Amino acid sequence: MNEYIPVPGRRREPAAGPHGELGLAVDIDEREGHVLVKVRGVIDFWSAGPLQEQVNWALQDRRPHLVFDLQEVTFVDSTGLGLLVSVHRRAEAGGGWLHIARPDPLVRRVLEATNLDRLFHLYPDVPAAEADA
Amino acid sequence: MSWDVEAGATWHAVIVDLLARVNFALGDELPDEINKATAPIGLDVTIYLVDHEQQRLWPLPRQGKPPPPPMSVDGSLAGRAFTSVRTQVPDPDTAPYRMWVPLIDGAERLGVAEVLVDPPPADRTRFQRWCESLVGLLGHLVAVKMPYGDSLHRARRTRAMSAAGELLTQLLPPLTFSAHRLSISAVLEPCYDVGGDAFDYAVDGPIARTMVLDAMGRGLRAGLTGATALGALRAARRDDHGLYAMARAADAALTEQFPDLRFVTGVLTELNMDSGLLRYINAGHPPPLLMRGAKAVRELPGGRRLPLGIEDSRIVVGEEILEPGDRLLLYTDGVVEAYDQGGDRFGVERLVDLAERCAAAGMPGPETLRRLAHSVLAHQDGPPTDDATLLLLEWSPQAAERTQL
Repeated sequence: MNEYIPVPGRRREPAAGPHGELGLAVDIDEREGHVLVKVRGVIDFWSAGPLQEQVNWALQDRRPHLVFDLQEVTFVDSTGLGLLVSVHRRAEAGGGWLHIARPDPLVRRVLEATNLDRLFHLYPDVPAAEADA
Repeated sequence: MSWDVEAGATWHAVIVDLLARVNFALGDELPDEINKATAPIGLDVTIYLVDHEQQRLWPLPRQGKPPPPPMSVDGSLAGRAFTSVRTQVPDPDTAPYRMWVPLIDGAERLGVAEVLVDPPPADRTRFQRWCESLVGLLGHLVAVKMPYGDSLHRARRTRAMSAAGELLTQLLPPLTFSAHRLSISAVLEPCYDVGGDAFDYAVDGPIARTMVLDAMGRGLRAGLTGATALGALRAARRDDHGLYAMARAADAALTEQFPDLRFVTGVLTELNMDSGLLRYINAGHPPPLLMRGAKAVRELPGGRRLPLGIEDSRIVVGEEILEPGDRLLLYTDGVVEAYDQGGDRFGVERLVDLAERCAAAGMPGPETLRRLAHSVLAHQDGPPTDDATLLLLEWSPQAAERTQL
């Protein structure tokens, strides 16, 4: 049988999806006072490392201010959650912050199930996440 | 000297002889030693051990005898003895007289023993009781010999264990435990390749403590994270700390050990069987399910905190008054988040429905969990994407008795 898994993002191995080999696409936009990171696809065991590498430079800032736009993220597994917590902590340790904008309902459910909605700063849209400095 | 297979003195002699024989016996010598001890009374004993997936019973080889074929747990009389924890007699009127006796260590189901005797005993009830006592001893002996060699482990494996699976299975307590007032069962899948899931329990006086853990990530990396959390929690518990301090100990161990962030979700519970007070902490995990009678009455929503490994001082330990006879079902998200090829989630409803039907049928706890785990695996229709762990605490003497002969 094939290895196709119909649930968005849930994979047994890194399978090419609409967002390429890793199933993940990242657009980084340096804005006034913060970095806007638009993530599309899935943040999981296979894509968390590459995503981490792409945002590492932003965390080198003196006071890293990051907005993650998760509207087009369809799935986050435990490794993906670990990445988000790690970015959140590094940003706060550096005197900055991580704001998470418009998580997809499925992703929000995962955040709530793991109680991580208590840890993260969540916003209904990107402007709200950007404005809350 | 003549031997009467129904006389107590005969069985005492067999048991004393067996005990003398097993002192230096290796695990793979047990099948021959038991038969040497029972030869004087004409009893032939074949030991079958169940594999880790709990699907087949595998015979332990004996010298000079061709090994019989393995037996399926589902759909054989041997399997029925295993699942029901009740001795099965295929046909009482044929010779040799044959019995399938459950092989258990305490309440842990290890397999079955096939016992043959010719001619058939006159007093079958009495004969069966003695055989059950002997096989009960044999179950203890198998468990005692297990750590010292690999052959008994090998007999239970249909394929190689991954390093993560090997690490974790060594850390876990037996899958089933029963005492006067309760029974605790657990099951873990995929059994040869489990990564970050784990469970633990301890019963002391009126206090029964259980936990289920799910470490982030996959494979050995998740296994090491889970092992660290389990070690910290167990050490804190044995040092007489309560739930709150146990969780803090796990936070400390995880943050000290791993410079990168690692977290573990889990539920820790503590039931006082004198008062019925259940206290629990839920660290980012699916909530425990409370069953009363044969019905799932509600999910326990309290005690929430962040996953272990992410410090959280805002914890209020959850509390609930349980009634004698209640069941508590803990599970990891790999159970309800199992998807079939069509994208249909296994879900809490299916879990509840199956658990209720097993409870209504009066099924032993370990058998309930075996069926639930197999239903999850069957639903997935392919290799699992995540570990799935279930733990069932049944607070009743009847539940304990269902796991015993």
